[in-house]
Amino acid sequence: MDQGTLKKMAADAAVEYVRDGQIVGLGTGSTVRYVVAKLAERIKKGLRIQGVATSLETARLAHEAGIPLLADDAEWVVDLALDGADQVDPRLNLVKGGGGALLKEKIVAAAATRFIVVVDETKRVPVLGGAFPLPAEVVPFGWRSLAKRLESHPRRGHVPRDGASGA
Amino acid sequence: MATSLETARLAHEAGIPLLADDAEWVVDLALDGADQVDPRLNLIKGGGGALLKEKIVAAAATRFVVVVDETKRVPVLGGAFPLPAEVVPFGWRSLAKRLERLGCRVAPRMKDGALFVTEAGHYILDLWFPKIDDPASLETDLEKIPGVVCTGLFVGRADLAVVATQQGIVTLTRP
Repeated sequence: MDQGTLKKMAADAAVEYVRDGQIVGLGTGSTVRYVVAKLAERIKKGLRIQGVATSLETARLAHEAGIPLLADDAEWVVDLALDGADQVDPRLNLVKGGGGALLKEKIVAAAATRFIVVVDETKRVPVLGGAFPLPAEVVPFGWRSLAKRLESHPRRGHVPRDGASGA
Repeated sequence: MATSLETARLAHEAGIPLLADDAEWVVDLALDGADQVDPRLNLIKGGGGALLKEKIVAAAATRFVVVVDETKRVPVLGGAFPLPAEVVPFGWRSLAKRLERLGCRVAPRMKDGALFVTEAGHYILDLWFPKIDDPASLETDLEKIPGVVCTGLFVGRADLAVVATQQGIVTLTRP
């Protein structure tokens, strides 16, 4: 099976955990597209949920799927967050942020009662790092000095993210 | 290095050339005020809303000297002054609820009837703690919470405090 099929399989299975009336955190990325598509199917069959979107891209997909979204400044309690990951280790520690939406994804995951990570098998690793960089979202003010400081950590280096490669 | 547009303007008028925000600066000496200074030179800063850039510059500085008058000295941080937390707008109401559970009253900082917005586009939540017994733990705990950009707690950062008193200047070094 190709990776897209695997992502869809994972998404379909993960959406089974969504219950009627829940507030659902929606991550960002290619797997989440399948999650939203499956939610749209269930909504057509009568499922009622509200969503919290972690990116403008996901907000647009949710809107198209008929998922009502809570405002960013609402006092939301997220019952269940569904999101992909770039790497998953055996303790379910994750590296996320390949799509650049890590800040909102982390805020929603932290606000969620339950957080289910939805991945295909290629994302499982014995140890995080290596083939995939750890993204750090940083304040523009002083970022070059910060990058130097991060490089001085013995285990870490940095590659500035090209603006065009984000999202 | 200027930590706010206001300071940048003052520096410009004073003839101080400024490094660009994205230059690779190494700050030899940082000079800044504080809202509260405890005997270990732990600080509460951020009454003016510039805490994020102030904290970045203080962290990048080889030496950090805090410049205050004697009214800023307190035995224990907190109480009469709130601890500012700079937070991401996304989800801030949920974050405020979570922060309340840490034992403080949370007051979003306002300006002209609307939420105060920092130069970086964040909000500030003023956290009213009756007293802060363990500033180091509180700083770590708060800054681990997703959505908290930074707090106004500066723990173990000031090397020297220059304090103006009615009797003259007193300098305090970090114990």
